[in-house]
Amino acid sequence: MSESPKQRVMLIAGFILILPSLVLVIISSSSDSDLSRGFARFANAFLTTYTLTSIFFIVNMFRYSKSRNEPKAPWIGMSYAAILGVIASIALTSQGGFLLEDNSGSRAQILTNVVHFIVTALAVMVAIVIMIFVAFVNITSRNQNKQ
Amino acid sequence: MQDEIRAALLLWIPLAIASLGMAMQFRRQHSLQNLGKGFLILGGSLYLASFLTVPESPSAASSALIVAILPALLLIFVGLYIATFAGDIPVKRFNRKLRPLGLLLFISGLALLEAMNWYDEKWLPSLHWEGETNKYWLIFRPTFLLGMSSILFCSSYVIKHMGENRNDASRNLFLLGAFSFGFLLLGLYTDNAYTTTDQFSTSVWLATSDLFGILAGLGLSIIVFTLAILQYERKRPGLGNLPPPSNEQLELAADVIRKNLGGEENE
Repeated sequence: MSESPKQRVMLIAGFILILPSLVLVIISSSSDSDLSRGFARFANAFLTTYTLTSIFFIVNMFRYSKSRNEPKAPWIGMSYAAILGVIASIALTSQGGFLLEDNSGSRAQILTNVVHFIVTALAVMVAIVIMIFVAFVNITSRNQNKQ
Repeated sequence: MQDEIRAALLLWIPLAIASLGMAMQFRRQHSLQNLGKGFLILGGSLYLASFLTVPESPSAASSALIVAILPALLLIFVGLYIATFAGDIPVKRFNRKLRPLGLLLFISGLALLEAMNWYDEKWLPSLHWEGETNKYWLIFRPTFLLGMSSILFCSSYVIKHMGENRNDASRNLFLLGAFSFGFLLLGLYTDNAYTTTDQFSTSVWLATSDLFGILAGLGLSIIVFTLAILQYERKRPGLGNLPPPSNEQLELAADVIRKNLGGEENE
């Protein structure tokens, strides 16, 4: 497949990926309180994912630095990025912060966010693994039937 | 205070140990990888047991949920594993006749997961926590169904247009995605054993926000990681500006070449 149709396929695939969410948002009636809760949830999920994956990438810098002369600059840069995420989370979830959901304080909110992330990530990972296996099962069964 | 220390010791520290174990899987040394596996099993087991050891912690509800859905997830994964490795692949591990059994286990797993939501029966794993619906179930189910329908629709389209003669695979992925989306729609219009339509509508809205938040957070951290490495790589001298290799480096290169070429010394 040439480059241009490939890009078009990926663009349409990206749109299809968000299509079910768009349809559900349109057909499910959302009140004002739902909208503000939705925004708080988006921001909490964004900050938590950003911070946790940044920490994960710092750990993975071990591998990268082994293949170079153990440079410090990428480590320091990535650590700053993760610290920024932590500071933003604390600042925005402290008393009166707009990211505080049903929790009493910043620490409770951050811990809730981490557990929330685990459950959400588990749901997404299960969905991805199912997709990969189902695709394989279908592809291998087609080869088998041909024989 | 004592409750908080107990929660830290029996839930949060095990969770940190499990995360460390997971990160250690990316190290090259096998000894560290094995140690990481040990950390993962130990930390993961303690975390999963936290709904028994620290039931007073609100976060323990998440471990109760994971334990409750574990049988369904095991059926799904064992079923798909058997169905895949009984197919026509070089690393075939199961007899071809076991393939329908694998598919049956997969469908039973999905059916169990849905039955748990629609029926509150004694023989089904309970989704209650402290007398109410486990709040993490209201996060897991809509995220799982929404994630599954989005990913399956998308992969169905990509497989059809990127591969050749993949119509069957594409159609089956689409059908499974449609089932998943159908259950989401059903939840929006019908009460079930654990949620009302209003609750489910709010949960779906929050799950959508969650998924977009995760995608945006993941995207930003990947961009930052790429920039951190790119900045360093750009400052490194080009190949033409490098000093000539030292004797030690030449020895090392010769050793690697010798090992890879093989054969006798005098050839």
